[in-house]
Amino acid sequence: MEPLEQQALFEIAMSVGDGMDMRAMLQTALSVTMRQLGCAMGAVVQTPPGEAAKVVQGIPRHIANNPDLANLCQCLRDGTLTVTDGQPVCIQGAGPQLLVFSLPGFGVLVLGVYGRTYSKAMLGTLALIAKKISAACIACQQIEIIRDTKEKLRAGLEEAREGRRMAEEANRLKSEFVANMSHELLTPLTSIIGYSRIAAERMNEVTGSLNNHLPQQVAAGGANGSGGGAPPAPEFEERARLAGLKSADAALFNRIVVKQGERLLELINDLMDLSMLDAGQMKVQEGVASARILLYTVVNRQSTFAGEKKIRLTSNINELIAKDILFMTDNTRLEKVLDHLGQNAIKYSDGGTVGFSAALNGDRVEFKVTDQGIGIPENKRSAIFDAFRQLDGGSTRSQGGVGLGLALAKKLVAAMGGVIEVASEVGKGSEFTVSLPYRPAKD
Amino acid sequence: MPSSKKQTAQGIIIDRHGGWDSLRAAIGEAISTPGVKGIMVLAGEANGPPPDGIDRFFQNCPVPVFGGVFPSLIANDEHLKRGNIIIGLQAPVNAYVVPSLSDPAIDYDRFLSESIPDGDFENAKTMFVFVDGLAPRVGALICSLFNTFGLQGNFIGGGAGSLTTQGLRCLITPQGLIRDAAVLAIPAVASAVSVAHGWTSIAGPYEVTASENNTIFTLDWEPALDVYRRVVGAHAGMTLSADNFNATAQSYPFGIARIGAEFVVRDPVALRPDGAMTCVGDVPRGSMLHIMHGKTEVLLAAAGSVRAGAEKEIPQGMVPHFDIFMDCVSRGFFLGNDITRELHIAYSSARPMVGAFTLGEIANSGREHLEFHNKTSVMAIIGKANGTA
Repeated sequence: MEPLEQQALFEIAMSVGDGMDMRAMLQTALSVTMRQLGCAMGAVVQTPPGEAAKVVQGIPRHIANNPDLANLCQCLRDGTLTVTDGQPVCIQGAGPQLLVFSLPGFGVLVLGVYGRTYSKAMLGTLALIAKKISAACIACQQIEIIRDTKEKLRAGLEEAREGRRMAEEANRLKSEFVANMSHELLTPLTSIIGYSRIAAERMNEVTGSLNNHLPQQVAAGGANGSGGGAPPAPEFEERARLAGLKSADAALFNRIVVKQGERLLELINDLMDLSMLDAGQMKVQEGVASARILLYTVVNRQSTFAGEKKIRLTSNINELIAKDILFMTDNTRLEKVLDHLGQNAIKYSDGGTVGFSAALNGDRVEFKVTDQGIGIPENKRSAIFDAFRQLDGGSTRSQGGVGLGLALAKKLVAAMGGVIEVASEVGKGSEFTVSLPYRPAKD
Repeated sequence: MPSSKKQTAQGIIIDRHGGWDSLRAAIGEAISTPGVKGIMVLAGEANGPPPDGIDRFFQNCPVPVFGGVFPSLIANDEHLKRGNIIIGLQAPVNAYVVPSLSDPAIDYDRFLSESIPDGDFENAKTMFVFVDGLAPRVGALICSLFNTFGLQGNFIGGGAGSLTTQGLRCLITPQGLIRDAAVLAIPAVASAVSVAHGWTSIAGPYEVTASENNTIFTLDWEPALDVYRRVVGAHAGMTLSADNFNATAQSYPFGIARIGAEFVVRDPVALRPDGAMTCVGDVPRGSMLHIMHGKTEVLLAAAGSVRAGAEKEIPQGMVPHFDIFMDCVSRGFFLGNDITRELHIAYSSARPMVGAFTLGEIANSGREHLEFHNKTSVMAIIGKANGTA
């Protein structure tokens, strides 16, 4: 072999295996090989068993589109061309002449040359260098497998960490929920028990007081045969007046008991709804709904709560009187959604206005609840729809509730085929939009 | 004495007077020629510092203008030490600027893929490439050009700049007159290219054991200068020093060995105190280097072979329009007065020949790997645009 050939082959051999990134390594090796041998093109083709041959790296850039190379890949795939170790194959295509060297265990090295011939000794040495290329490719592949495995392990570890973080967060939320729930259950229950006890005492006092005196009065009336014609004694009148007052007290306490009972019932209903939604057991009961009546009902129901906080409620009910929106949906659930959004708006407002509106927007019917409350920071907007989560959750929370309202609202709307979106600016207020598919009510 | 400005029938203006005002006037004249769709400019370094507003002038040209400022020019068989050459191209031409040839972070493969539309990739038959000849990453760009385009077309071009003025704004581009960059122009014409130099090995091989871009640190683990000094001193019968380095190195370039082809010559142009040597063009680590020497008659014969090689490569159906001859400036220094003989040998009276003495030459030798050459002669025969007489 000529000294220059030896030098060139040495340089080619030294260029193989520089680095463990297969593509970069092959790019360097191909570039040096092509420069030394005067090649017009070069490619390394991988031939995985049972799969199509593919160009792993090639020069120039669009070499994979070269028809001669595409034919060669097809022949390798269907077995009409086999390249054995140490015996390069020469193919004359439409472009440059292709010299194909076996890369044992990997594929083939293809070099395209115009009008060049190489000595047998040189081709033999190139075949040996091809083995080195093959070994380098396999080493790079193994490194890639190790890297992939490491990457998967790292991703798995990260996933496990995330799972642990989520479990801890769920645990924290659960504890927070239990604490809030205890408070929410205890408050009405304390009222119910306390006021029931007082009401019972009052009733006992009334009954006892009247029982102590009524027999004599009745007896006295009955004895003179007048049937109560004689005026009651002043002492009895005073006792009766006091008994009346105590009865009124008892009636008031009963109303408190009923209200707190209703609050408890609502809480338990929300919990049950949420659990049914999570279990996929809630069925949408579709019927004709009137946007005007829905808003009227919700605004009416929220007015007391709003009044206590000096919040003005507004709606576009008057506009809807002229042209109501009648559509098919689950009335009860939608009402509950709007109730929750209304309660939420009022809860996080201190004065100002809470507005309710309904409108048709293309093929959607949209309900909006707007407030001028504290607003929601951007980083908390997605979390507010998580169950048991409150904007000011934790021990420092300033608002009541267990954090079910928005979560339930979102799930109910989703069950009805709609979405809830929120736009908000901290310190200025929020706007919740319930968007439902508009299915007109049938006449 | 020839007139100061002359336009040939082929739309080529030879401005022997030189100067930037004269260049602007000649470009204006070329633009007004019917059918001109692009303009290649070869300007002489003797034009001096560019005037204010030259960038705006190139930016406002209605057709792409590209080219470079070179140490001196070639008009037919004449060596022009000053002047400008303006070539009006009748074929559609797109020009692209590759920035920052000194920025190690730029991936030129990616830049070319993202900057050049598929149409130009697919149809490129001829590419003019002018680079800032002393920029450190010319080799990386040339490698990327080959990786990107392959040999579907011919490359012809060279390194612009000055051996005496550092940081010269030497590239004429549609963005203005710039430095540390390259301009690539793709006209829709066919071409034929040939490369030859005539330098032969006197010592080697030496393995390049440490190098970075165009600087060689060690050869066979010895400081590059120690090896070079030993070989050249023995061959020339003198002691190489910093004082006589430039004059001596002109006769003793490096050569990178290739199988079945001429060496790729690398011109050493500067020494470093640590014994490293800086060349025009990359010297990859791991390559086998020789120290070369030339004989005038052999180099002149190479000019003849480059002409013959280009003529042989003319593709079927191509009607030649003009020839471009890029000759290395340091080859010119070596040949001295014999450079006119070289031009005479390279020139064919069949058509105009234009060119420049460059800081490195860019060409693919026939249908082989694209290279950035030194001390080499490159000839391209450019075809006429389809439909032009």
